[in-house]
Amino acid sequence: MEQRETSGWAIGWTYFAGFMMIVIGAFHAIAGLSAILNDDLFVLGKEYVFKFDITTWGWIHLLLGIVIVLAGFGVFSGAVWARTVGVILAMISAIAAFAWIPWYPIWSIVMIAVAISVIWALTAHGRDVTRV
Amino acid sequence: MSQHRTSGWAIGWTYFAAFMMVLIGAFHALAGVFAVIDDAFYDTPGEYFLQFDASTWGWIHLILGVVVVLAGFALFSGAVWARTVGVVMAMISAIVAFAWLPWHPVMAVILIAVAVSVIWALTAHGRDVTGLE
Repeated sequence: MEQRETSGWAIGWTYFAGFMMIVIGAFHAIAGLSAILNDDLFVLGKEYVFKFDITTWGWIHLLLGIVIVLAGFGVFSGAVWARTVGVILAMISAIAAFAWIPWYPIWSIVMIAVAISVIWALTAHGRDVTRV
Repeated sequence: MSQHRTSGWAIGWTYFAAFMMVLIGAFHALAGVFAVIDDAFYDTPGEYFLQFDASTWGWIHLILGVVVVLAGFALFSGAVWARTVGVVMAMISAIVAFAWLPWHPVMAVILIAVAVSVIWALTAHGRDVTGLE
């Protein structure tokens, strides 16, 4: 009985992580498209290490977004490799968003918050899935 | 006993998600009404690839808001289809809010936060409802 309850929870958390990864992927893609299409949204502040060309940042976001969406669908399987990939991509997402903060802070903060929720769901609860 | 308690919780979380969806729907509808009534309510961001004019975004929000409220009411039934629709609508709500963020960042962040709480309640706890039947 106890066993079943634990598993039910874990499956739920894994789904949560999967859906959130699709949402983050969409966020990166929107930010990326916006940068590639040369929008004026972005603050060109002081000189800074990661101040690549905005188009370069756009492609980074777009490709990262696509990879994260695909990995999100993978997480629905609950496989160990998929959860590992999920955590790594969520960390890359958060780090990329952090490095990108000077360009558009609020988008970055939202991405980081959602990425942390994915890491939390997959690490604190993901392992229980294997008990099913 | 344990089973019973689980179900009680699950119903609670589903209610939570349903109320939150009614709330998000109202937020979207309000954000939309502001724009539809007064084109100048929002500062236009600089050039942006999703820069439709303010009233177009207004209608998107208004229609999305109404759909989300209806989906929220459906969720009180706890049916599987209603929970699936709830998760999908909450994801659409979060993504639309993110895309719309340059228009009004604070409103968009609130919409995203509430949408995430709906997805969380429905995925992490929603399934327990089935333990009832």
